[in-house]
Amino acid sequence: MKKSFDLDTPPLGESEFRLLRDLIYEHCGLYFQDEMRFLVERRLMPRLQALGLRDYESYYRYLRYDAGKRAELEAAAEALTTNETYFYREPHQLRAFAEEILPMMAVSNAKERRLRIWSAGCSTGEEAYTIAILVKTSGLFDGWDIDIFGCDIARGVLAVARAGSYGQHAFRMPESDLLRRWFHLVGGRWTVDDSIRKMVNFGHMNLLDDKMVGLMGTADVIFCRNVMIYFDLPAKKRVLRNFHDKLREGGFMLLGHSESLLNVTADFELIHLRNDLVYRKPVAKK
Amino acid sequence: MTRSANASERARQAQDGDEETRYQAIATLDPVDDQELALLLGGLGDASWRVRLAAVERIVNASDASRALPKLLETLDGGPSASSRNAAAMALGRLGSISVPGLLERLDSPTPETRTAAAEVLGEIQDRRAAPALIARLVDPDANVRNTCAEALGKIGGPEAGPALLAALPQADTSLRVAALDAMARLQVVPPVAMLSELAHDRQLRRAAYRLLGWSQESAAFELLVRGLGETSRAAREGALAAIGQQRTRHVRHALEPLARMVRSLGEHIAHIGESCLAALGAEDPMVAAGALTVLGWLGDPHYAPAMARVAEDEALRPIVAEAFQAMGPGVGATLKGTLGDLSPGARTAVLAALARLGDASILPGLVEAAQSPEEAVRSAAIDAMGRLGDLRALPSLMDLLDNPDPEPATAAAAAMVHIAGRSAEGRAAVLAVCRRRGAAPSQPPALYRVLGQVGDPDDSVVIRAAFSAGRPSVRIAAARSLAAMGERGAFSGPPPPELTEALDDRVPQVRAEAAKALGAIAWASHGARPTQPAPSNELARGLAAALRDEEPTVRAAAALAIGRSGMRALAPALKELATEAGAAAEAVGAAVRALSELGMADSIMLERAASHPDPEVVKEAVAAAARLPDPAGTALLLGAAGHARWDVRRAAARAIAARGERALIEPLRRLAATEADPLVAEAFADALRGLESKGA
Repeated sequence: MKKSFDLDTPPLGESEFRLLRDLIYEHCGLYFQDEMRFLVERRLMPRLQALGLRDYESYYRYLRYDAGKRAELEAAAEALTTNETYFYREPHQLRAFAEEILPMMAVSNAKERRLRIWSAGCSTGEEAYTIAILVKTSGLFDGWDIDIFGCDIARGVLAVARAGSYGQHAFRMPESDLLRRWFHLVGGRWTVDDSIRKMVNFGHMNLLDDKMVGLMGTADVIFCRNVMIYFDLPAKKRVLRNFHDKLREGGFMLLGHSESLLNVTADFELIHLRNDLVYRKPVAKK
Repeated sequence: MTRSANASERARQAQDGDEETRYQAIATLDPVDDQELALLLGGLGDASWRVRLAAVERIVNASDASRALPKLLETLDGGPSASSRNAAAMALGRLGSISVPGLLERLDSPTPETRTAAAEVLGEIQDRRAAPALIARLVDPDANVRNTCAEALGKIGGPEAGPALLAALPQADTSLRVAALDAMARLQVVPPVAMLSELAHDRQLRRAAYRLLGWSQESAAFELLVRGLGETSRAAREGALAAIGQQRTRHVRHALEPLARMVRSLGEHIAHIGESCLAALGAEDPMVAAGALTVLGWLGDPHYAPAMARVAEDEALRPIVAEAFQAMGPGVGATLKGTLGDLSPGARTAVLAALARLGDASILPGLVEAAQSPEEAVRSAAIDAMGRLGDLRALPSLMDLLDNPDPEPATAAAAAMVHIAGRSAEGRAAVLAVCRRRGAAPSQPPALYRVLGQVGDPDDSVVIRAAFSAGRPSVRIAAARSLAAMGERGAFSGPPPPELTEALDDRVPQVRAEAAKALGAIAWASHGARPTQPAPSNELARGLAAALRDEEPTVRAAAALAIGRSGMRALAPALKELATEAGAAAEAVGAAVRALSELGMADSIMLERAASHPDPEVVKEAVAAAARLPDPAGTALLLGAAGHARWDVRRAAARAIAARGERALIEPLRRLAATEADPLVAEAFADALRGLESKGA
């Protein structure tokens, strides 16, 4: 949708859009294409209301000069990147993960009995918990050291992820019914079982922050779905370089359905699993 | 074992009967080796899609992928199977522009299949060099070639593609017309409505013809769209709906009112149109759904509302759902009771907000519940909706929210209360009553002062002023902002209260900054839009002069702006000092420049210095001020800024040149408009040029 239909909100002009986009890009590397102007307008409008500002030009000046500009830049990034998500999103890919990748991991990691999975851009945690349940129900990793780490640039969504309590709508996929036995209905909301919760940790991270990413251990599988859309080419390359550094040889990287590394990097090989296409960090030739 | 010793084994594996073995082997083949390249090319015809795709990957990712080009083109010409030819086409498309010369040659191949495949890949590559050859092939003897060339032109675009497709329409056969119309839709090239009306008589062309009306500027397009809504074919109706959705994205709502009237006047056909719109709400193309929502809104039947509400699951369509509900009127809410609980929080809140705009009081409990949501976006939308609803029964919940330790819901609640107060005298009285009751006790939440500042009477300033003695800085900040808001709306004028002047010495920088801003606002309220030279109190002048030297840039900037707004010309020297101070923060320098300009005391030397400041916001302040500078230095500064490296400074220069209104700038402007590469800036120069030319006419 390329047009704002909002009836009584100040319009985000092209000029203010560019200024805000460049400022946000400088702050955290998120990049919004021209056609995303109206999404930016809709997502930032509540910020203007919260600050009592009358237009986007005032908001730009606030972000440039106000004493609270750093906190507000984070709030803007959060508003712009927070998307509603749900359990068992992109079933083909999750089937590839459960039926093909996990069995491979069970063999390749059998010696150390350790599995590390990174959900980069985890939003409110549905993806990370889905992964945890798939690992658990595979029955391949009983007694293993399992660590599933979900990170996001938005702090607000991490609080929701840590709480692990979801409404009915988070289970909108038919496949997510299979997950339901790992939740308890508490006060009308579905709360994740402790046996799953303890497999998952959440933390705040900007994927472009090399220092923060540097603190991460190596991962066997990285999920980074529908996150790259917020980066321009140089930023994508940086993120992928970081992923490459953090992925063990032969480890898998799963991107969103419409995302490809074509013309971005040749550091990963495209693997045609039976259920889906995934990327893998090549094993160095001896 | 050496690589060459392994070669025969890899060759064997690449042709093994087991799919997985072949797949693994293909991934190890090296396209640099002629024999292995041959195996990879053979892999393009493998029975398994995985193996074929793996072969494509290996070939296109080779360090010298161009080596494979002749063989890939050969495979495209006459590969052993359709699979191998398709895989070769994919590889050629992935190789991009280096494939173009070979593909252009194949557009002249005697084999229609090769010409078709070449045209298809050229469309994928989107290299404009291919356009003339594709246009020439629109009269190819083979229908598939003609159609594929039209599709490819739709993807490639460029100045010649649209006119060529339009010119081909009258003589074209039906299938080429379909392809050409689809291509024109991609390019947003629209034939005249009369031509589309004729084309829409052809059953096979209807969908494409109606779809194109979305881009039409002709008023006659509306009549044809109404015809489209009544079509018996679902595809044709959806073409018309997509066009209505498209029209809606291009215009403000009321511009489509003539079309809405036509739709409403369809009498007995309305029910049929409603049902077909209902079916189209689930269409994959969001434009079709947007059109269907728009039409259902016009029809106004609330029974359609539950299905429409479910479309709000798509965030992009939420505003259109809201707009459609608004068009339907207040009866909508009653039909949605059973639906709201099934919606995701975001969709539910969007629907509640839409109902709030309609004044449907039955949704208040739902809004109160959503206002407690852990999700910020849902929470803030619900609180905002409570304000828009304007129902006074929301006030107790909003008052509770003012106490929320999280400033965001508290601020949103304050904004909602201001909204309620603005809707009616009764609302204002009720809001003020609850705030005054609370305000009588000390140490109130900051958001309460926000409401009083934006709604209260001059008498309420007593309560606000008392808040300056509060221990919490957030309350003192809120009090200063509150007085500023009163000043902005003229509810507080005359001498500034001593609490504000004293607050310029507050230990918290933000309190000092907000106090300075409030002083500026009150001064503005006292002197109107044209600042005079009042005789400010000695305390105020001293306070603001001291604030200009504050360690915090935000305080310095706020003080500078307050001086400008207060008309305190006596403090101009201090402003000039700040504007030219080495190392001063950009915010403060920019504010000093603006203040001097407001006082009419900006000079060319200071502005030239500001115009070379590294911060573009300071440069833009200098540019804006230069528009008012009477001497020729102002002109020179503006022309210099028009060539600045940053687009936003050049755009500011264009606006300032227009504001300056000097006809001598017409010629330079013409040159700038002609040579500017950035479309946004070029448009600003062109606007400025038109303004100056019309001024002299």
